[in-house]
Amino acid sequence: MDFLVADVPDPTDFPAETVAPGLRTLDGSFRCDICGELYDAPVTISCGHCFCSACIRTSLSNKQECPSCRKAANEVHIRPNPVLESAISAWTTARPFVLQLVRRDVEVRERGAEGNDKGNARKRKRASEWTSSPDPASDNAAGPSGQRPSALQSPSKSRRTAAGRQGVIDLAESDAEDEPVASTSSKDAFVCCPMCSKRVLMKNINSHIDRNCQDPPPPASAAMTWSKIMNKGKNGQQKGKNKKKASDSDDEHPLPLSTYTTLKDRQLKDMLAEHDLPLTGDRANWEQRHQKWVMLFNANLDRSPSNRKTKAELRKELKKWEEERSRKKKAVITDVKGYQVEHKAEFAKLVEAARSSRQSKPPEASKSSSPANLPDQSSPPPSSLIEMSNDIVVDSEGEGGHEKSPSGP
Amino acid sequence: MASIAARRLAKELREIQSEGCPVGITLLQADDFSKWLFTIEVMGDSLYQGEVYTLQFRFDPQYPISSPAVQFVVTDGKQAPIHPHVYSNGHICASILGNEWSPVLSVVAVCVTLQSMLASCKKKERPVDNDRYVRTAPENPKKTLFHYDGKRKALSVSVYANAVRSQTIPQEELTTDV
Repeated sequence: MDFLVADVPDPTDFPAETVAPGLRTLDGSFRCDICGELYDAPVTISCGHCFCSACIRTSLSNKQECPSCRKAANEVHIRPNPVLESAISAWTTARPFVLQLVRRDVEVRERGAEGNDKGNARKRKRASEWTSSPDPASDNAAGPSGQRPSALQSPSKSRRTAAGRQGVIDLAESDAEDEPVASTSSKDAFVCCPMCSKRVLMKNINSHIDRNCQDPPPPASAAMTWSKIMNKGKNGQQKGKNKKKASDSDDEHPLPLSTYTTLKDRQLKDMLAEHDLPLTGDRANWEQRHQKWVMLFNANLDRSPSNRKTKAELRKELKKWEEERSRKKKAVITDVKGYQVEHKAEFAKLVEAARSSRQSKPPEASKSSSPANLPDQSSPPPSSLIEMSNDIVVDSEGEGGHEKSPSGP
Repeated sequence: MASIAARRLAKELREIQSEGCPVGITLLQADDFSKWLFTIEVMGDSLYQGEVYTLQFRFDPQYPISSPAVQFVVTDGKQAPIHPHVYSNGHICASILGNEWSPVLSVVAVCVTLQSMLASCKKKERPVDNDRYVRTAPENPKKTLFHYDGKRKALSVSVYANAVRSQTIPQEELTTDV
């Protein structure tokens, strides 16, 4: 469908679970449940659910509960999740590459399936094994790899490793096998300690036994290193701190949410001026602008310092948001006559409905004669609906327009 | 439309297209990001066996923070199902479409909920205040201030905000016991 935005990456970019197990779920679990994008400034709220900072802030301003589990939640519960943020940035980098790998893999598999499709579901599941082997037919002849004699297994595996497969898969395979792997001569392999039967790296086994099977004491040295770093930091901190204070000390703290109804125009103006925000529009515009600014600003603070946007960028974002909103602004009907002509049939229907309901319930007619949105006009006849269209406001989404229907009892 | 809403809807649509709708639900029309149509059918043993209804979703730029406007289509010879929570004009009294909407819900989730709402129906009947509501109902069901009564599983009040504000409906009429 051509109206779709061309580039809207989502988990379905990855093939189904049967083809690429876990990848679709993985991509999905890196996405905010509100906007469906990879988390932008991921934050956790008190129930433990995670959202983009901006998304959950908007949602909480609407309703103070977790969108996922409906537990009570509040802005003050929002905590940034830097670990997830770094995972996201790694995934953002890795995603196109993984996609490319998966696509190539699927392609190769399809070609293999065309040539030699016996409809064996089990083989298909294990397909990732034979896609890399140059000739799938030979693999099939050998039967499912699990049933192959183990003598054949290691050479074929090493061939595959040599063919440049990802190390991860080989690791997984060796994990699935039993102890014999441990006896490989590689220095990086784990072996069972003959004394405590703990799994120890081959190259460490001697020192391990020398220490009476005690773990090496890295904590002490680690602590040393840390204290070294910290001390160094302390020395340099004085300068760094002062420098920071001069530049962006006020940028480090989130802005408080305001209750605009209690503010005077003057105060609100000052608040906008404080952040160099424009003073265009009316008071309602100011409130929305300030509210959105606080939201953008606080959400920005939930990013790790290296990912933060500058205030100028945030201002640009705010401007874009306002422009988008004003485009959707309600279109006030100026041509009242034209509107009446255009909607004549609708009006006639409503008038008819109002008349008939009036006739059927004469005692209550007096109560219902005052139209909903014009209480100042005392009991006009139903046909006065035409006059009412003076102030009909219609927006493009059909939201917020005044009701035209006559209100029956 | 705000880009967040458009992108989110694009994602939902892609998921529908690639994974398909749940059983009994089919996408009828989705030409833009403002109005989608689905057909909905209750599978298995129910009062609505073999009946196919059309469900209309309308989205505003605040989606998914604000709920979609969902109703059954009652034009072009189509009918709304006869159900204690569905008015003859297609409006639906379901809390997840109103105050219990959550931005993590999706179009498909709403379809499935409504499907199960129909499936669990014991008796085919219109809401008690159907006539009154249909006479005064706003065009957009989101403007109706439904009163959700989970315990009795019935709707006890259905008036819309304008009527309340202008007090066209006397206060004592607002709470109709079911």
